[in-house]
Amino acid sequence: MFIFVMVITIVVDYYEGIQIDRYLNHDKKRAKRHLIISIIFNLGILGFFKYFDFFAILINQIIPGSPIPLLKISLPIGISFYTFQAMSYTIDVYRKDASAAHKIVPFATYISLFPQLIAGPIVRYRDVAKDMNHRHVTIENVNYGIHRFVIGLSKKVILANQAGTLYQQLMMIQPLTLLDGWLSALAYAFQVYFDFSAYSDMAIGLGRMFGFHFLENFNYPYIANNITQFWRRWHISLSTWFKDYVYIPLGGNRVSKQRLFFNIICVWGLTGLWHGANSNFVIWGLYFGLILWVEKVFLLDHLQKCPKVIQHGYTIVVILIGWIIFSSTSLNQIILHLQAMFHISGQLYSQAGLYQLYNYRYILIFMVFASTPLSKMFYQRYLKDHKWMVLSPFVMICLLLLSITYLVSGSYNPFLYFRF
Amino acid sequence: MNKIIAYFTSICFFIILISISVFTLLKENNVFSPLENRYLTTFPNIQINHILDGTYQEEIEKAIDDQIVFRDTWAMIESYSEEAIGKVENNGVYFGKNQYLMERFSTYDQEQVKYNINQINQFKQKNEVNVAFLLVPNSAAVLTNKLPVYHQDIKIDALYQTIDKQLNSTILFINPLSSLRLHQQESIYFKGDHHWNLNGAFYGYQEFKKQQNHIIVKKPEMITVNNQFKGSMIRSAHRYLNQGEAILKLRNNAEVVVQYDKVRKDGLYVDDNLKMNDKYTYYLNGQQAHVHIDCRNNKEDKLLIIRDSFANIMLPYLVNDYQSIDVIDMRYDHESMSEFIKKNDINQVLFLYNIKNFVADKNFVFLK
Repeated sequence: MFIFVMVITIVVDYYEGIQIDRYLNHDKKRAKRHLIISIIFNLGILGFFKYFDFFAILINQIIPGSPIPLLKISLPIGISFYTFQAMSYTIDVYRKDASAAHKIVPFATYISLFPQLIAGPIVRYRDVAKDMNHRHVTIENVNYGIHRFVIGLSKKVILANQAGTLYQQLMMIQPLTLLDGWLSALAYAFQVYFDFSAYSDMAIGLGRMFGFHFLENFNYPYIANNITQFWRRWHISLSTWFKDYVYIPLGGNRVSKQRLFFNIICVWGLTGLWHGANSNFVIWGLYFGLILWVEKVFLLDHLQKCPKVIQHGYTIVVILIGWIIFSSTSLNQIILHLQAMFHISGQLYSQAGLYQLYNYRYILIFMVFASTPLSKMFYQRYLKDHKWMVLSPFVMICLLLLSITYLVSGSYNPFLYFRF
Repeated sequence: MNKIIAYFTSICFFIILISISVFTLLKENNVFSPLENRYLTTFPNIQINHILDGTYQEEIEKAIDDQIVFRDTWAMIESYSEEAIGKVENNGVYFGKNQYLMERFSTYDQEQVKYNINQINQFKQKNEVNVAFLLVPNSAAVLTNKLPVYHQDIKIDALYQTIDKQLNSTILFINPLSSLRLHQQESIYFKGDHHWNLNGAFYGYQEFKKQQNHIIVKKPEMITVNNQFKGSMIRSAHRYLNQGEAILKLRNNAEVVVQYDKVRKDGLYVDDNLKMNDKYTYYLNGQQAHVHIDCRNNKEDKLLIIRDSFANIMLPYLVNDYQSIDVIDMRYDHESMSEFIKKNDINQVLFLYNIKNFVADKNFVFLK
């Protein structure tokens, strides 16, 4: 069903792209009108499918007498990504950052490119325009793509899922203790990172197998020394998108202090909302917006004079609190979790928390290693361009097979009717 | 050199993916997984309306999960790799020392416990019979020195005390925890199954008799009838490489006649079941709603056992002490126990449950 939404998006934005291109040089107003149509259209689709119910509930709550019926439509797959891609295309054409696509097939390929359709990255047309027309499927590309894909797959099914189970186990502890609070935040941080960056790895890998060069989406975000840096390393394609198409058009940094505050809060409220039609995502976005503003106004200067340990410690704590907001379903849950973390209520540790810490001790250490550049350095030093290079296929095969075992065993659950 | 490695990697990658897909599609659909004891999803037939509403795609995904080639092997490798990365359990089963696999018991529902005990108390008030309650601990509660350094089990001794306190004092409560722990160097539980074994059941029986002022000193001789038993814990934790274990029987058994469904047979053991996967069903044929045992002796007492499967393996000892024993599983038999007792002149009732099963059992509503 929802395939039609995508087809319509392709047709509309293809047409608008050509129109913008046609009028750009002699009738800028008309070109702008087409750009606005395209933006309204894409935001309209996204707003309708993703946010209708969210705002309907909000309005119904504010105005008691206005029963807007809820649609309860399920989200078309990848809609947040491809509408953003489509918008980046028409805007870039208007700004002359990209030339318009004159054939519909390559353009349709761009919008519906399957490797990154579901979970990003948001690929901009100008970054792949060259590949669209001159793709080269070479053995080097395929080989690189396979490595990238297998690493992504194992990150997802081994690391992210392990972190996910740990998180779930810890969240079952009632009430949370200080240890459980921090450990679960850490587990969630690893889950989100390994999950999301794994999808990007797989997308980049698959893309490369077919000759596309997607830009990197993650750059070891957890080694950042402040939040400003963190957001240059986390989901890069999204932050770039908001920077280029929202923040800078609003005036960016070169505005008054009040306006800067407005710009940042606006961008980060939207960023939060993009992650999901739920108030906790908006709070999460605003939380980061506020911290980024504080960093920009004064904190960053002071912070950079501190020892690295303090900078990094501050960053991790802010990020972990962010993930608590991100993962919680209610304000109450956020407060309870934070109370446990800062020992406002509850015990220091629980037996169950200690047990999980012990159970996952090596995995947690490995996750720390895997989320820093050390893992890549290790890989390049010993497996790439080195005499041990012959081993690299076997490492890849083992990782692939191991991922399959974890995939299978996820569904492998003895049915315990022989319980008694 | 670089190119050769690149080609080699690529070819291996595609061979693995293609061969797994091809073999999965070509091999015959497995309908049942004996190791998991459940029915598997098979590949669905193509139906246009199912494709359109998405159920076909969902079915296909489930079928791929269930039908993938070497499914059991994949799951097994996962279990061993989990151990290799330092995990102390898989799927709720601890990796104990000496290949002991022990079920985790980390939570229970207090309300359910209260309800079940209350049901037993009321049952005792209604019926003029001796009531005993033997609660068998789970292996992790007894074999404490075989547990991993850190574990997450509940405080079992406290749970026993709570149950003892809530139980009507006219009911004989038998707590075999300390006597079983005394013998934890012996083999008293299966390594790969959640049940106690014949030797462990003897100590349970001994404790049961001791509470009734009969001291039993001599343990009867046991012989091995099979040593290929791979139990439920092996299956839950996917440890298929673990060795099979011995199924024992007593050398000298009372000549009893056993009756269930429409079967009437001699002896408590079912030899045919030794060929099956779950060899524990050797004892009293596993799950039966109602088993009547005619013990063929001149004893006077008639016993009713309301039980789970932990009782099955204690029967070889009990049959010597009673004229007849009726064994009822309330999951399948919902008749009124009080009427049954009156009709058959039962004068002893024994509730025999594993503690982990008892605290979760929802069938005490049927105890009337």
